[in-house]
Amino acid sequence: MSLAVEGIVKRYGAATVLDGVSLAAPAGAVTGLIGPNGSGKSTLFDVITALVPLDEGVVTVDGTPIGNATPAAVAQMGLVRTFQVPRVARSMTVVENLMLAPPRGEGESLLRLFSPFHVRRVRRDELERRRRAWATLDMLGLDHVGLDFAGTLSGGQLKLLSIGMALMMEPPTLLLDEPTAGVNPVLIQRILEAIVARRESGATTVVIEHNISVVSQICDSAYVLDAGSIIAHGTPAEVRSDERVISAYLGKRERGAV
Amino acid sequence: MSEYLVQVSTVAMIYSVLALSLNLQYGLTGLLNFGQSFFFALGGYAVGIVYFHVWPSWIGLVAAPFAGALGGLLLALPARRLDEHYWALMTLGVAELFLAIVNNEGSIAGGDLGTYGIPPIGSGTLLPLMAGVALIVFAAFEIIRRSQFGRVIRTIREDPVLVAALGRSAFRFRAAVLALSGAVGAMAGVALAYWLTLVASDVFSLEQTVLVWAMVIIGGRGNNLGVIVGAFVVQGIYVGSQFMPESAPIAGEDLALLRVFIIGAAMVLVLMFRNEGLIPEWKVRQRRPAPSDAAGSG
Repeated sequence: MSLAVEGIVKRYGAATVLDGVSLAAPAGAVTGLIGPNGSGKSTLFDVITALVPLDEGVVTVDGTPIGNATPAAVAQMGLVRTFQVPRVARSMTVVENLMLAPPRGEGESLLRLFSPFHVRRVRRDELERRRRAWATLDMLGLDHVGLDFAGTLSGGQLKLLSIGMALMMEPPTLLLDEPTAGVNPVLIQRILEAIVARRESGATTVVIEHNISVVSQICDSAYVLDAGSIIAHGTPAEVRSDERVISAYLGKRERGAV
Repeated sequence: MSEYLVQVSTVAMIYSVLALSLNLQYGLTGLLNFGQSFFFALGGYAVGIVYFHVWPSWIGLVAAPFAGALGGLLLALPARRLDEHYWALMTLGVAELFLAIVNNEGSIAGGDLGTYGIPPIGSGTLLPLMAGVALIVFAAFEIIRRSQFGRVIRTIREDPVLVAALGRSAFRFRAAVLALSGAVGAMAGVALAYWLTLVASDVFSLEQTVLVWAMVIIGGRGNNLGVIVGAFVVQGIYVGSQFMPESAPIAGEDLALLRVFIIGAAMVLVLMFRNEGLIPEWKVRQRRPAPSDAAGSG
């Protein structure tokens, strides 16, 4: 499943936050999105997932425009995102949050929940969710807090949980907003492995990331957003040596500092 | 005295069912329904209308839950467009509107005089009946709370944006909750009509909404057992105030106001010192499955 956006414009009053952004995230690849704070990266994710209406431009999935679909409909199309400030259900346990995420739950319909013909399927689905949730907890190093309320987690743990929820959905297209921020180095490697593993299944991944060495490690290509416009695109190596990128993203510094 | 206790328990059981229905909406889904008396009234008036028109009484019993469910869906429709606080105000308006209609149109169920003389069901029958209904509703709502449906509605309570990002339509779940809650609330209204042997707009007034909210807040929002305890506590305060010593310088209307004052004070105290209610929401533990479970017995 490939994702493309073309000529996206988003204005807030007089401020133009996205000024004609076009990019393509091919299937089976990890695409990086970098840029200074306030350059419009998260807003681009908001627009792609229909959380925020766009003023101009078009978002296409496998060449089909998503039109004015609701955020829920966009997610049902397989376009799933995480948030820079993690969103989780704090009054539920950590493991419940993970069990919540996978789509098409048998126990999601009241009729099926109380239908004698569906009892076994509901129970099997629940067990499968619980089993996968605990496997994900092990992978993310959160197994010791699995039965705690999600509201008690630290910032880094919340980030891990929200990524775990997104991975549990096994989305054809995944947009990750700063997945490594606040996470300890050992677990960063596990997250990166999980992202790279998506490539083999032909899934599409877009990652907003500030850490340029992470971008180099996992991304096939990267776009650089500055003040609402794409100023560079190429392999991570090309991007990190681009003069405009160095001056926009890192300020006026020596090239070696990148 | 024991007969009196049975009577008080019967009323408390009726309110337990109503409190459970509000808990599904507010405690679990976060829906601010300030017109819960609407569902109560729909059930009561299903009985009242049938009796007023001298139709067979089973029609009222069968129609009540459907009327409640339809009323719930009716309330759900504007939820798509309205911000939750405006929706809350709308529920208040709908409840009052319904009472205004049945109160002013005498041909529906006797207008402001109401419908009297509904054949009583003694507490000897009604108490075990309502205890059974409360038990079934409690069990069903606990199954719902712990299910995938329950996880989605508990997430709606906290963060509708997250629910959308996870690919679920909050509207669909809210509508299902309102329909089910409406049906259950209407059943409580049926019971109250048979208990009081009358249906009139005074019986299903806004005061009922206030009472049931007090039960949910005091008992423990989100806890299906807590709200039943809350129903008994509030009902206890309500009738307990009748046992004021003869010498107490308070009676009649003043006493009625005192009850409201005590219930209000209890709510404030709970909110200040025990925010989550007498029995806070139970954690749903989903422990790591044993390897034998994973092998899949089905």
